[in-house]
Amino acid sequence: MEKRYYQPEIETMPVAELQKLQSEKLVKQVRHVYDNVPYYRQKMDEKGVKPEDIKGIEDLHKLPTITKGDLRETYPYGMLAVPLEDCVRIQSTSGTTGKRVIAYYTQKDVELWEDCCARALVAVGATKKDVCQVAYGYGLFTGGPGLNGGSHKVGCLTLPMSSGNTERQIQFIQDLQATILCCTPSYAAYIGETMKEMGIKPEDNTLKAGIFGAEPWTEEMRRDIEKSLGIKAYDIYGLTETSGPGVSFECEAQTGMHICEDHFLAEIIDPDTEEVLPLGSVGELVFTSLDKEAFPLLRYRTRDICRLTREPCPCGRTHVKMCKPMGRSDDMLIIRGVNVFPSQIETVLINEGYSPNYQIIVDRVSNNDTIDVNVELSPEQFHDTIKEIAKLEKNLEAALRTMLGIGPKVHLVAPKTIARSEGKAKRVIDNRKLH
Amino acid sequence: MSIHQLNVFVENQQGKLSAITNLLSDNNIDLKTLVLADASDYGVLRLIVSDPDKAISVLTQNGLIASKIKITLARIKHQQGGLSSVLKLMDQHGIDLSYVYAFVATGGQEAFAAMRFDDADKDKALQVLKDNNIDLLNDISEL
Repeated sequence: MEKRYYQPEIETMPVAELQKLQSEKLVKQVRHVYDNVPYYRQKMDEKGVKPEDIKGIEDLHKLPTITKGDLRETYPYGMLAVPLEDCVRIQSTSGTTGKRVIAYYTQKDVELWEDCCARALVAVGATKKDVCQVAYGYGLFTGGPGLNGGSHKVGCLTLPMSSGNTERQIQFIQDLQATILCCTPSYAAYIGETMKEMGIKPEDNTLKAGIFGAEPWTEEMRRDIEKSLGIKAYDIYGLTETSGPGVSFECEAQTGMHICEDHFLAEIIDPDTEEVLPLGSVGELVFTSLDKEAFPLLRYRTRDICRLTREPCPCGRTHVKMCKPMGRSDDMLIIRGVNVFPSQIETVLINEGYSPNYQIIVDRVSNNDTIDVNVELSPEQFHDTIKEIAKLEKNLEAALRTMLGIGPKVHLVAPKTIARSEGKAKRVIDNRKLH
Repeated sequence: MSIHQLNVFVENQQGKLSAITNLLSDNNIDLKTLVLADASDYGVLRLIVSDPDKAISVLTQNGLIASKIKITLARIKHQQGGLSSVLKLMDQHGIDLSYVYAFVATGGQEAFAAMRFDDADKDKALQVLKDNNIDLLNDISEL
C-alpha cells in the first residue's frame, strides 16, 4: 500500500495532542449548540450548566445527554443549529412510529463526513487507481451517499450501483474490474452466493477488499464473505444522527474500529445511571460531535453496547478503537440494515384492528435476515374462505412493510396461542447468533 | 333455502384437529360432514353438524375461533354426473362459487352438494336452482 492514511497528520496524531484538539473543538461546539438550538439550551439550563463551564473534554460529563426521543420530539427543525438556507442536504433514518429523524448537513458537514468515509477506504487499501462499487442503498439512507462521497475524495472510479439487481452488480464487478465493494454484509454474502451459482470462482473476480456495515455481523460471516468473494472484509460503523458511515472503521489490523476522534468524541456510560465508565468498560456508546454545523449532537446516546480501547495499533493510527456493538440497551433490532422497533409493529397491529399480542421471530438464513410476525386472528376477522384470510395476511404485510421499510412474513394464529409468559411477554425471538 | 355450516380456524399443527373433533364429540354434537381447506400455516375447517350454535359456544369457550355461515345444500343424484349437472347450471349462468363439496348421506342412497356463493351471485344462484327444480335443504334434520 503506497498511501495508508487519507489524512495522516490527523489519523496518527499523538493522543495528548489529539485530546487538546478535541478540547478546543468541544468548547466551540458547545457554544454553537447553546447559542443556536433553543431545545438544547433549555436542557443545559435545566441541568444548570453553562457553555463557559465546559473548558475541555474533562468537563464533557457535565452536559445533559440526548436520545433519539429528543430528536423525534424536535422533528423536523428543532435541532437545527444553522439557518435552513445554509443546509445543502438531508439524510434520514427509516422512521419510527411515523416520525423519522432527519439529519441536516451544510456543505462543510458533507465534506467532513465524506472525509471520514475516505479514511475508511484508504484504510482498506484504496487509491485513485481503484474501482469502487457502492452497492449500499442510495437515497435517504446514508450508506450509499457516504461511501460514494468518500470514494470520490480518494479518487477511485466510483460505481454508484445502489443495492439490488444482483446479476447486474456482478456484471459490473466483472466488466469494470471493480476492486472494492461497499454494501451491507448480508448483501455481500448474497453477491458471493450468486457468483458461485453463476460459476464465477472467487479468484476470477478483481475484488480485493470490501467495506461492510449498517447491520450487525459476526466473525463467522466475515470468513464466509472473504472466502466466497476472495477478498478482505472490513467493518464500518456509523449512524444517521451523527452523519452516517465512517464514524469509525477498521484498519488492516481488524481488531476494532478506529473512531474519527477529531470529529466525534466517544464515551462509554452506564445505561441506567449515565455514569461515565473508565476506558475498557462495557457500556453504552455516547457520541458528541466536534465539528458539526447544521446538526450538532452533544452526548447522543446511541443505545449500542460497546467497549473502547486505546492500545497502540500496528496500523499507526492513534484514534481510539471501538469493538463491534455487543447488543442494544433498548429493544431495537437491526434487520437487513434497517432499524426496527417492536413498538412500530405494535402500532401497525392496533391500527389494523389486531390484538397487540404478537411475536417477532428474527433469523438469519444463508446470511440473510428473515423476519416473521405471528399475529393472533380475532373472531371478527375470521372468514370461512382461505382467500379472505390470505387477504388479511397480505394487507397486514403491506402495512408493516410501509411502516418498517422491510417486508416481514405474517402468520395468523389462533387467539391466546402466543405464549404469555410470566409478567412481561417475550415479544422478540432473535435466533441470529450475532454477539 | 339454506342451512348453517360451522367454520373453525385451525392451526396447521399436530393435535389441533383432533382437539376440535373431541370437543364436539364430548358435547354430543353429531358431525354430518367435515372438509378442511388448508393454507400453509392454517386451515379452515368446514363442518355440517347437528347443532351449530352449541358447537360455536363449546369451541369459543375453549379459545377457538368458530363461526357459522349459510350455505346452499342441494340434493343431487347419487350417480355419475350427479354433481356435474348442478355445476353445469352454475357455469351456464355465469355464477361464481366460492367453494363446493359433495357428500353421500347416511345409508348411501342420497348425495348432496354444499355450495357457497359469493354474496353478489347468491340470489341469482338460488333462482337458477329453483327454476331447474333442484331440491334445496332447509334443515339439517333432512340429512
